[in-house]
Amino acid sequence: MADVQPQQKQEEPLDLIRYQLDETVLVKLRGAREMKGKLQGYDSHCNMVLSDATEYIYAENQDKPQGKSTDMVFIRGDSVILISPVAE
Amino acid sequence: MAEVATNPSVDVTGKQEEVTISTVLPLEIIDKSIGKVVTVLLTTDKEFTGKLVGFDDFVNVVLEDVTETDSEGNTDGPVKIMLLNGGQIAMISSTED
Amino acid sequence: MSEVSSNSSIKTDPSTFLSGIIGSKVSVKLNNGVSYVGNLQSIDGFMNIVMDTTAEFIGGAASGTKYGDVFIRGNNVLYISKV
Repeated sequence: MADVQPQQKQEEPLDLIRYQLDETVLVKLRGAREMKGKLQGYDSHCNMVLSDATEYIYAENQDKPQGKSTDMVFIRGDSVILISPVAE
Repeated sequence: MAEVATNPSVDVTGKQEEVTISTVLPLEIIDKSIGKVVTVLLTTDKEFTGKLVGFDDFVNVVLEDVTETDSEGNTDGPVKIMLLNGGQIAMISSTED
Repeated sequence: MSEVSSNSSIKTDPSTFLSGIIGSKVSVKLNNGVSYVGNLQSIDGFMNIVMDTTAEFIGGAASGTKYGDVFIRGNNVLYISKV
Protein backbone atom coordinates (compact mmCIF):
# COMPACT_ATOMS: atom_id res chain seq x y z
CA MET A 1 0.00 0.00 0.00
CA ALA A 2 3.02 2.21 0.36
CA ASP A 3 3.35 3.25 -3.25
CA VAL A 4 0.20 2.75 -5.26
CA GLN A 5 1.76 4.30 -8.35
CA PRO A 6 5.18 5.60 -9.10
CA GLN A 7 3.67 9.08 -8.79
CA GLN A 8 6.79 11.08 -9.42
CA LYS A 9 5.25 14.24 -7.96
CA GLN A 10 4.52 15.78 -11.31
CA GLU A 11 4.42 19.54 -11.01
CA GLU A 12 1.27 21.11 -12.27
CA PRO A 13 1.30 24.30 -14.31
CA LEU A 14 -0.17 26.31 -11.45
CA ASP A 15 2.64 25.17 -9.15
CA LEU A 16 4.98 26.94 -11.50
CA ILE A 17 3.20 30.25 -11.02
CA ARG A 18 3.90 29.93 -7.34
CA TYR A 19 7.60 30.40 -8.03
CA GLN A 20 6.78 33.82 -9.45
CA LEU A 21 5.22 35.11 -6.24
CA ASP A 22 6.87 38.37 -5.21
CA GLU A 23 8.58 38.51 -8.60
CA THR A 24 7.76 40.73 -11.54
CA VAL A 25 5.57 39.05 -14.11
CA LEU A 26 4.14 39.97 -17.46
CA VAL A 27 0.52 38.97 -17.89
CA LYS A 28 -0.87 38.95 -21.39
CA LEU A 29 -4.58 39.68 -21.39
CA ARG A 30 -7.43 39.56 -23.85
CA GLY A 31 -8.10 42.70 -25.81
CA ALA A 32 -4.44 43.45 -26.71
CA ARG A 33 -3.52 44.37 -23.17
CA GLU A 34 -0.59 43.44 -21.00
CA MET A 35 0.03 44.03 -17.33
CA LYS A 36 3.44 44.02 -15.73
CA GLY A 37 3.83 44.00 -11.96
CA LYS A 38 4.90 42.21 -8.84
CA LEU A 39 2.82 39.11 -8.24
CA GLN A 40 1.19 39.33 -4.83
CA GLY A 41 -1.23 36.46 -5.18
CA TYR A 42 -3.25 34.28 -7.52
CA ASP A 43 -5.74 31.45 -7.46
CA SER A 44 -6.69 28.49 -9.61
CA HIS A 45 -8.79 30.67 -11.92
CA CYS A 46 -5.71 32.81 -12.51
CA ASN A 47 -7.33 35.69 -10.72
CA MET A 48 -4.31 37.65 -9.65
CA VAL A 49 -3.18 40.66 -7.70
CA LEU A 50 -0.21 42.68 -8.91
CA SER A 51 1.48 45.56 -7.15
CA ASP A 52 3.39 48.42 -8.76
CA ALA A 53 1.69 47.44 -11.96
CA THR A 54 1.79 48.99 -15.38
CA GLU A 55 -0.86 48.24 -17.94
CA TYR A 56 0.07 48.39 -21.60
CA ILE A 57 -2.70 48.87 -24.10
CA TYR A 58 -1.85 48.17 -27.72
CA ALA A 59 -3.82 50.19 -30.20
CA GLU A 60 -3.89 49.34 -33.87
CA ASN A 61 -2.92 52.81 -35.05
CA GLN A 62 0.11 53.29 -32.82
CA ASP A 63 3.33 51.35 -32.45
CA LYS A 64 4.06 52.06 -28.83
CA PRO A 65 1.55 50.89 -26.25
CA GLN A 66 -0.01 53.35 -23.92
CA GLY A 67 1.10 52.75 -20.32
CA LYS A 68 -1.00 53.16 -17.19
CA SER A 69 0.44 52.73 -13.71
CA THR A 70 -1.41 51.41 -10.70
CA ASP A 71 -0.23 50.68 -7.16
CA MET A 72 -2.28 47.56 -6.78
CA VAL A 73 -4.51 45.82 -9.28
CA PHE A 74 -6.78 42.81 -9.36
CA ILE A 75 -6.97 40.86 -12.63
CA ARG A 76 -9.88 38.56 -13.24
CA GLY A 77 -8.64 35.16 -14.35
CA ASP A 78 -10.88 34.75 -17.35
CA SER A 79 -9.10 37.48 -19.26
CA VAL A 80 -5.64 35.98 -18.73
CA ILE A 81 -3.93 34.50 -21.77
CA LEU A 82 -0.43 33.92 -20.46
CA ILE A 83 1.86 34.66 -17.57
CA SER A 84 5.60 34.97 -17.86
CA PRO A 85 8.34 36.11 -15.51
CA VAL A 86 10.29 39.16 -16.60
CA ALA A 87 13.93 39.66 -15.81
CA GLU A 88 14.48 42.89 -13.97
CA MET B 1 0.06 -7.55 -7.62
CA ALA B 2 -1.52 -9.38 -4.73
CA GLU B 3 -4.78 -7.56 -5.08
CA VAL B 4 -7.47 -10.15 -5.79
CA ALA B 5 -10.13 -7.61 -6.85
CA THR B 6 -13.13 -8.90 -4.95
CA ASN B 7 -15.21 -5.86 -5.56
CA PRO B 8 -18.86 -6.96 -5.26
CA SER B 9 -19.99 -4.34 -7.75
CA VAL B 10 -18.04 -5.84 -10.64
CA ASP B 11 -19.22 -9.39 -9.98
CA VAL B 12 -22.30 -8.74 -12.08
CA THR B 13 -20.17 -9.43 -15.20
CA GLY B 14 -20.56 -5.84 -16.30
CA LYS B 15 -23.44 -6.52 -18.71
CA GLN B 16 -25.81 -3.66 -18.08
CA GLU B 17 -27.05 -3.69 -21.67
CA GLU B 18 -29.03 -6.90 -21.24
CA VAL B 19 -32.26 -4.91 -21.33
CA THR B 20 -31.54 -4.41 -25.07
CA ILE B 21 -31.06 -0.70 -25.00
CA SER B 22 -31.08 0.33 -28.62
CA THR B 23 -29.71 3.78 -27.89
CA VAL B 24 -26.34 4.49 -29.38
CA LEU B 25 -24.20 6.62 -27.16
CA PRO B 26 -22.57 9.61 -28.87
CA LEU B 27 -19.15 8.61 -27.66
CA GLU B 28 -19.62 5.14 -29.19
CA ILE B 29 -19.97 6.79 -32.58
CA ILE B 30 -16.72 8.61 -32.02
CA ASP B 31 -15.09 5.42 -30.83
CA LYS B 32 -16.09 3.71 -34.06
CA SER B 33 -14.31 6.45 -35.99
CA ILE B 34 -10.97 5.73 -34.34
CA GLY B 35 -8.40 4.97 -36.98
CA LYS B 36 -10.42 6.74 -39.65
CA VAL B 37 -10.09 10.18 -41.13
CA VAL B 38 -12.48 12.59 -39.50
CA THR B 39 -13.36 16.23 -39.87
CA VAL B 40 -13.72 18.14 -36.64
CA LEU B 41 -15.79 21.28 -36.93
CA LEU B 42 -15.26 23.94 -34.30
CA THR B 43 -17.61 26.57 -32.98
CA THR B 44 -15.18 29.13 -34.38
CA ASP B 45 -15.85 28.17 -38.03
CA LYS B 46 -12.55 26.38 -38.29
CA GLU B 47 -12.15 22.73 -39.10
CA PHE B 48 -9.50 20.10 -38.62
CA THR B 49 -9.22 17.01 -40.79
CA GLY B 50 -7.03 14.10 -39.78
CA LYS B 51 -6.91 10.53 -38.57
CA LEU B 52 -8.63 10.11 -35.23
CA VAL B 53 -6.39 8.26 -32.82
CA GLY B 54 -8.11 8.90 -29.53
CA PHE B 55 -10.42 11.01 -27.42
CA ASP B 56 -11.58 11.36 -23.84
CA ASP B 57 -14.85 12.06 -22.04
CA PHE B 58 -14.49 15.80 -22.64
CA VAL B 59 -14.11 15.06 -26.37
CA ASN B 60 -10.60 16.36 -26.39
CA VAL B 61 -9.34 14.64 -29.50
CA VAL B 62 -5.97 13.32 -30.67
CA LEU B 63 -5.52 13.59 -34.44
CA GLU B 64 -2.75 12.52 -36.80
CA ASP B 65 -1.66 14.17 -40.08
CA VAL B 66 -3.95 17.08 -39.56
CA THR B 67 -4.93 19.87 -41.90
CA GLU B 68 -6.49 22.98 -40.45
CA THR B 69 -8.95 24.93 -42.59
CA ASP B 70 -10.33 28.31 -41.63
CA SER B 71 -13.61 29.85 -42.66
CA GLU B 72 -12.06 31.39 -45.78
CA GLY B 73 -10.69 28.07 -46.96
CA ASN B 74 -7.06 28.76 -46.11
CA THR B 75 -5.33 25.61 -44.99
CA ASP B 76 -2.50 25.06 -42.58
CA GLY B 77 -0.48 21.98 -41.90
CA PRO B 78 -0.11 19.11 -42.12
CA VAL B 79 0.63 18.67 -38.45
CA LYS B 80 1.91 15.20 -37.58
CA ILE B 81 0.05 14.70 -34.32
CA MET B 82 -1.98 17.03 -32.13
CA LEU B 83 -4.29 17.18 -29.18
CA LEU B 84 -7.28 19.31 -30.05
CA ASN B 85 -9.05 20.97 -27.16
CA GLY B 86 -12.63 19.72 -26.84
CA GLY B 87 -13.75 23.07 -25.55
CA GLN B 88 -14.56 24.46 -28.97
CA ILE B 89 -15.52 21.30 -30.83
CA ALA B 90 -18.98 21.47 -32.36
CA MET B 91 -19.10 18.34 -34.50
CA ILE B 92 -17.02 15.35 -35.53
CA SER B 93 -17.81 13.53 -38.73
CA SER B 94 -16.14 10.57 -40.31
CA THR B 95 -15.16 11.21 -43.91
CA GLU B 96 -14.80 7.51 -44.77
CA ASP B 97 -17.02 4.57 -43.81
CA MET C 1 -12.53 1.30 -17.31
CA SER C 2 -13.07 -1.64 -19.63
CA GLU C 3 -16.22 -0.83 -21.56
CA VAL C 4 -14.79 0.79 -24.65
CA SER C 5 -11.81 -1.03 -26.02
CA SER C 6 -12.70 -1.88 -29.58
CA ASN C 7 -9.79 -0.13 -31.26
CA SER C 8 -7.40 -0.22 -28.37
CA SER C 9 -4.41 -1.31 -30.41
CA ILE C 10 -4.09 1.97 -32.27
CA LYS C 11 -5.59 4.24 -29.65
CA THR C 12 -3.75 7.17 -28.11
CA ASP C 13 -6.08 8.94 -25.76
CA PRO C 14 -5.37 12.51 -24.72
CA SER C 15 -3.75 11.60 -21.42
CA THR C 16 -1.42 9.10 -23.10
CA PHE C 17 -0.53 11.67 -25.70
CA LEU C 18 0.20 14.30 -23.10
CA SER C 19 2.38 12.14 -20.91
CA GLY C 20 4.29 11.15 -24.03
CA ILE C 21 5.12 14.68 -25.08
CA ILE C 22 6.15 16.16 -21.75
CA GLY C 23 9.68 17.43 -22.10
CA SER C 24 9.55 17.62 -25.88
CA LYS C 25 9.30 20.57 -28.20
CA VAL C 26 5.69 21.42 -28.85
CA SER C 27 3.62 24.00 -30.59
CA VAL C 28 0.59 25.38 -28.79
CA LYS C 29 -1.94 27.25 -30.85
CA LEU C 30 -4.38 29.55 -29.11
CA ASN C 31 -7.89 30.50 -30.14
CA ASN C 32 -6.71 33.97 -31.11
CA GLY C 33 -4.44 32.46 -33.77
CA VAL C 34 -1.17 33.04 -31.92
CA SER C 35 1.14 30.03 -31.53
CA TYR C 36 3.85 29.34 -29.00
CA VAL C 37 6.68 26.93 -29.68
CA GLY C 38 8.79 25.70 -26.80
CA ASN C 39 9.65 22.85 -24.49
CA LEU C 40 6.63 21.47 -22.68
CA GLN C 41 7.32 21.44 -18.96
CA SER C 42 3.93 20.64 -17.60
CA ILE C 43 0.24 20.46 -18.44
CA ASP C 44 -2.91 19.79 -16.43
CA GLY C 45 -6.49 18.71 -17.06
CA PHE C 46 -7.59 22.25 -17.91
CA MET C 47 -4.86 22.33 -20.55
CA ASN C 48 -3.06 24.96 -18.53
CA ILE C 49 0.46 24.71 -19.90
CA VAL C 50 3.94 25.68 -18.83
CA MET C 51 6.65 25.85 -21.46
CA ASP C 52 10.23 27.10 -21.46
CA THR C 53 12.41 28.64 -24.18
CA THR C 54 9.26 29.74 -25.92
CA ALA C 55 8.92 31.74 -29.11
CA GLU C 56 5.77 33.48 -30.20
CA PHE C 57 4.38 33.14 -33.73
CA ILE C 58 1.67 35.38 -35.09
CA GLY C 59 0.11 34.29 -38.36
CA GLY C 60 2.82 31.69 -38.85
CA ALA C 61 5.68 34.20 -38.61
CA ALA C 62 7.89 34.65 -35.56
CA SER C 63 6.84 37.82 -33.76
CA GLY C 64 10.27 38.16 -32.18
CA THR C 65 8.87 37.84 -28.69
CA LYS C 66 10.59 35.17 -26.62
CA TYR C 67 9.73 33.95 -23.17
CA GLY C 68 11.98 32.03 -20.80
CA ASP C 69 9.14 30.40 -18.96
CA VAL C 70 5.55 30.88 -19.85
CA PHE C 71 2.28 29.79 -18.32
CA ILE C 72 -0.67 29.60 -20.72
CA ARG C 73 -4.19 29.50 -19.34
CA GLY C 74 -5.93 26.41 -20.68
CA ASN C 75 -9.12 28.03 -21.92
CA ASN C 76 -7.15 29.81 -24.64
CA VAL C 77 -5.61 26.63 -26.00
CA LEU C 78 -6.92 25.43 -29.35
CA TYR C 79 -4.45 22.60 -29.85
CA ILE C 80 -1.10 21.30 -28.79
CA SER C 81 1.10 19.42 -31.23
CA LYS C 82 4.51 17.84 -31.18
CA VAL C 83 7.01 19.49 -33.51
